[in-house]
Amino acid sequence: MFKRVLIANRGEIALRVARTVREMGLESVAVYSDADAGSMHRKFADFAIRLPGRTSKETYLNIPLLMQAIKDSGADAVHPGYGFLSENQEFVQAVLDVGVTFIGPTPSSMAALGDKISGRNLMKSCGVPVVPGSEGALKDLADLEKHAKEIGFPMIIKASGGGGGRGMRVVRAMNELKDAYEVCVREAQSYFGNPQVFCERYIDAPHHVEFQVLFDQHGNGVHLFERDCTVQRRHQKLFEEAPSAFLSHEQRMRLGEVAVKAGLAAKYVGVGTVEFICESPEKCYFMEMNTRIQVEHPVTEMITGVDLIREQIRVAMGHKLRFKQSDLHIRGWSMEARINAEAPEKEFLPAAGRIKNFQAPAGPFVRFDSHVYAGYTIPAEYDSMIGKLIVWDENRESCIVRMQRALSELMVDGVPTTAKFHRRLMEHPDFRSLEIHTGWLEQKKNDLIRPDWELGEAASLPLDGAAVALSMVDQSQQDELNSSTDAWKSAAMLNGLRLS
Amino acid sequence: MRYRVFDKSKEKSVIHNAGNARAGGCDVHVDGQRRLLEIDPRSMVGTFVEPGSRLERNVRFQSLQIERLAGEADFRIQGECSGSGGRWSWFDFGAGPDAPGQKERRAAKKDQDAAIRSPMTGKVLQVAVKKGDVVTAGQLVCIIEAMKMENKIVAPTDGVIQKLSATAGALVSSGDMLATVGPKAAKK
Repeated sequence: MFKRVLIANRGEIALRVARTVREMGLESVAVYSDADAGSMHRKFADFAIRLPGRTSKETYLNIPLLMQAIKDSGADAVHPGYGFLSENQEFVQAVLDVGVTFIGPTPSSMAALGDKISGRNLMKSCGVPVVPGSEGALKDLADLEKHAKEIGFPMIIKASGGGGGRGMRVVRAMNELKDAYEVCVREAQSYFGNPQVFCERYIDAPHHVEFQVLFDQHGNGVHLFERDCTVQRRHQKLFEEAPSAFLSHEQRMRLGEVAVKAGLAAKYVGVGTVEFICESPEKCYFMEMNTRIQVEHPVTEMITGVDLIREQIRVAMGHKLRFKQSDLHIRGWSMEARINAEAPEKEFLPAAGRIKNFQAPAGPFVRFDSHVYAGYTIPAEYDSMIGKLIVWDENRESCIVRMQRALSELMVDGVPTTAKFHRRLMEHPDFRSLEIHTGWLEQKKNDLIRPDWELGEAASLPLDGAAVALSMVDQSQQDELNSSTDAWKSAAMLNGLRLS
Repeated sequence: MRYRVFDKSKEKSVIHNAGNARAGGCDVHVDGQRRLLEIDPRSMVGTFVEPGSRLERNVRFQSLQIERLAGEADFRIQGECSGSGGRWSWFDFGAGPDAPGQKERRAAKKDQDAAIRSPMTGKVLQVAVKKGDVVTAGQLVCIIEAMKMENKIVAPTDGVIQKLSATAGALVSSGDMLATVGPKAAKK
């Protein structure tokens, strides 16, 4: 049993974890880099320790520095969050070696499931369907060519240690193979420190469906149904929902069952996510397993009523699972929009800077997980996500309406955000009728992104999406708006214009 | 939420609003030890930097009262804070045995007239005493209506009403003087 949890992460997830830690009567320790000295997670935790430096490499990825922070803080457990060192076996081993609990799987099951090749083989042996492919690391180019003949095109070459959409190449013809192979090996070596690559059939226009799983230390495991993360941009998730309207209930329960079986076979402990790529509702293939809590975990919490961080901490303490599979039910629908400080009209270009004015959405069945506030400066050193807007309603249609309402309440002044993109996404007929796939956004970019958003931002308008209203305004009014520096005043004016 | 905090650099008190991005810092006594307390006015979090350690200890204030102790750059801070498990605790930083001048100040206070101040912003509904009335501790002095509630304001000690500023129907702010109660002996 532990009492003081060091959260080896930053931003919204550090805050999310600290909240549950507090509810459980435990103490939280935040770590913060110099770039994060003004971040909310630093002041929210019961204790805080500075990590000197600004870059991820100097701070949140710096194992010796974190080990010193664990020692100095007197923490007896570590929560890794997502990203950074959450799937780093060396860090997990270092934590265990000093007698501190790591809230997550053991290094060996992390290795068995987290590595794409061994994970795939383990899944296959447990009856989980996998995409036809090389069954292991490729020896050389000749080996790849042999597989290419069997699998056919298009095919994809992936780094064994990769993730987050990096270190992969799609190949559509034999003459592209050599270049793609060489680039992929080089990237695999430089990004992930592991030159191994493998290949498999590339599935065009798939759905991305993933299962949330949870295991205790006593051989019990459950799945908490699936999330649909099909709305992606270059393999980066932007919007998630649960459950998936794409799967039938039979397919859902079948995939969930095999995912649990594979986790039990790997003696997995804690929360994890088994990702599937679906050609059709009947043809879903295992893609990879993430051995950590995920960004989009709240949609699962909303439909099941389970606080995943609390259960993750409970099983790390050695407790047995409090529920069986038959105790878990899907109730209603939930969606999550990732609010990133990015300009969708500029190829989602990230924009660091100061948030001058800020208003989070609220009201019935709305949750906004975020670490920002008015006056907060988004550091340029880390990722651009500034919040996650999560809503719940009884079905998909009403959930979309609620998401639209919540998005309209969000006000971020000072940096562009993806909120305006999400508003258009909610209105798109393809999204509403589920005729989407992971490459859909790239194809329908012109429907989803208005080039004149940029105009709105160049005019430094205080509100997201104000450009939509602006198109109805004549030039003299626009000049008047441009000259106004008071965000609230402009907002009121725009509201007035909308009404007239 | 507003609270008073002493700005160490300027040696004077400033009023902070939550959301006003100015930090204040002051020395307080914790378990008899002098500590620097930094207050983040936006989050209402006070941070102690433990001497000889990198560990910053955060205290989440729910209410906060800061008083400067006589003749020193020391402060007494009282209020409520929340901890893990949603536990609440009352804290009183700076009440150390070596807090200089504190005892003298308290003794001096006793001899003075006790002020009755309005604990809230509201409207005086009724004044139950007159100037020169002899009152006992707990006796009704006036009623103030605020937020649809009637609040009884009572005498803090036995004594005589020396000054009476409260009048029925008047609007009062939090901290406004309503009356003072002086010792009976001083009157005779």
